Amino acid sequence: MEQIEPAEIEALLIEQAAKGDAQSFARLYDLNVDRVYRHIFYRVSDIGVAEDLTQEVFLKGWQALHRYKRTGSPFVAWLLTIAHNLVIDHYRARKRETSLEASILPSDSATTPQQIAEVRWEQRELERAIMQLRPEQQLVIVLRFIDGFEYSEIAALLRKSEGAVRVIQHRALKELRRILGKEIG
Amino acid sequence: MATKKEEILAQCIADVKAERASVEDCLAKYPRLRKELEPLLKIALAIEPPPEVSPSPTFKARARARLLAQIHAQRPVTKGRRLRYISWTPRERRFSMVAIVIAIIVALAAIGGGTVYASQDALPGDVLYPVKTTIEDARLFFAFSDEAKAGTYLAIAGTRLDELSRLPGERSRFVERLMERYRYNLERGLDFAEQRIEQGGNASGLLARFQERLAHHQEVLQTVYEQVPEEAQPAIEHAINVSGQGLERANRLRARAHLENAAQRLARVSEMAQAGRMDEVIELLGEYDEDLASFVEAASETGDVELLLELACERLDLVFVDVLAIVPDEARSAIEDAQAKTMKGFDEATEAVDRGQDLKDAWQEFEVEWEEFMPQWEGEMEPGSEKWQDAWQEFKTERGHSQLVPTPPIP
Repeated sequence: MEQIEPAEIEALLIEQAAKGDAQSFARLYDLNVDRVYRHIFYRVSDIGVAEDLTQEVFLKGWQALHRYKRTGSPFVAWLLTIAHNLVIDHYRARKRETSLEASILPSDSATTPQQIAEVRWEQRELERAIMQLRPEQQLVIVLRFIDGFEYSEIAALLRKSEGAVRVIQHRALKELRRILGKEIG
Repeated sequence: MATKKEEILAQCIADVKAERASVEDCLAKYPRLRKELEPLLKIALAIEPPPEVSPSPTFKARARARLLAQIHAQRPVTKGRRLRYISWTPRERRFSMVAIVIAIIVALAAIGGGTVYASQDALPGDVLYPVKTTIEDARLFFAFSDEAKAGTYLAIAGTRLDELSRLPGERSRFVERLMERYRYNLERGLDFAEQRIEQGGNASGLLARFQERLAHHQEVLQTVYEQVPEEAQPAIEHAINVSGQGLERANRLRARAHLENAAQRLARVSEMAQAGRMDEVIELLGEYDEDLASFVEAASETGDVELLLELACERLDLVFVDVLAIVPDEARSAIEDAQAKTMKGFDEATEAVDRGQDLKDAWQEFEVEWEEFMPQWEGEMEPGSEKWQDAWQEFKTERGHSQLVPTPPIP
């Protein structure tokens, strides 16, 4: 029997959902909720906020589904741009740049308490610095390094050339260097 | 298109992450870039995805159920946006396109043109009021473009306000519903205006109309507030807020519309430059300057000036990167000139706003200073001449401009 590719299934679900089929959208929710939640949690580090924003992403996704065009970017990447905007709104509403007090677990490579503490500190510093980038730079860095998307996928999503995405990445890393240098200095 | 060092950085990151090369291998391959590459590479490699974090099964199930409940409670405007809410009551009923058309034809045939005309002055509670709202639905149905839809929704929102101002005291029970319909039509109108911008259409004129009408709505609502009975005042207060938020959104969208006009103008500059039509390049760059001034004027009317300047800076900078990657040398200087002016202008405008200065004033001052320093393309100085290069150097030195354009313009 011919196997249907996951991408084809997703495309069919999107098509059905865009016609108003709520159950198809619920299947899209099942397929993507973990990644959306993970992306948001990375940026807000608060379970309650991450849960609230995740719900909102899918509701907004449903309301704006007619705007989603298959430009070569995965559906989840589109959802993550909605998440990105909601995270920015969240911080703007809270009038502070970031809250990363809740724990991000250490990387697997750290084994001793001291190593764990060092890795946590470094990651937190980096996360704080990422949150200070301009919104578009933040999005490119998070999509590329945290969510693991290809340049072509990010480019399709942002409607820019791949070259432009690499330019944004380059500038973002330079800005991170400046922020981290300033904080350490 | 990215310049070489950006491509090299991206390639090095990919190679090291895929374990095709070590950091040292990459640095050894590009010794001249070692100093810049090394710290950036280290930062890039230090950004690690967080460990697997998953939402709890309880949350997932609860959120799924809630999502479905919200979907069923609030059906979306679906693809193509042909389905319309046509009841004027808050509990909106959806009709299919065919049903709308049939309803309109039947209604018009049954009631005749005179009735339709007479219905225009109808108020909620009048026998002819449903005829009036049906005609409005027909207007929406036959408004095919985003611009037409936006304009029609705006007009209907205005009609609800007009009805409110004429509503007799004994019908104050309709106030809240009228205000709800006002909010709905206004937001839908702005949604379509935003959609027009997103799809590359020119929406600046449309949004100017929104601004003008919304300013008028605020006046009408203020007058109505003073006339309605006390129990109806909260609804009017709410409508004043809705109208104010709508105006702020229209202001922001208008700034975005001018920004998109500027970006599209640059894209056309690129086309003309490639076709060797330098006269048109110069003309388009002049128009681009006007787009920028319009953007600044519109942005200064919003409460989000800094964010808009940041957005504009990023949007236009990337267009310049793409344009400069492909334009022939004879057009390069003119475009770099426009790029430098844009970036420097936005930097200075942001600083001026931080200082509390009015954005429009700051921009005008900057334009004057720029004109004093910069040679004019159609002026006395020959692009590329010694005098011209001196002017560049002087400007860069005095204005700290050297970081914006790394190389002097090549005429």
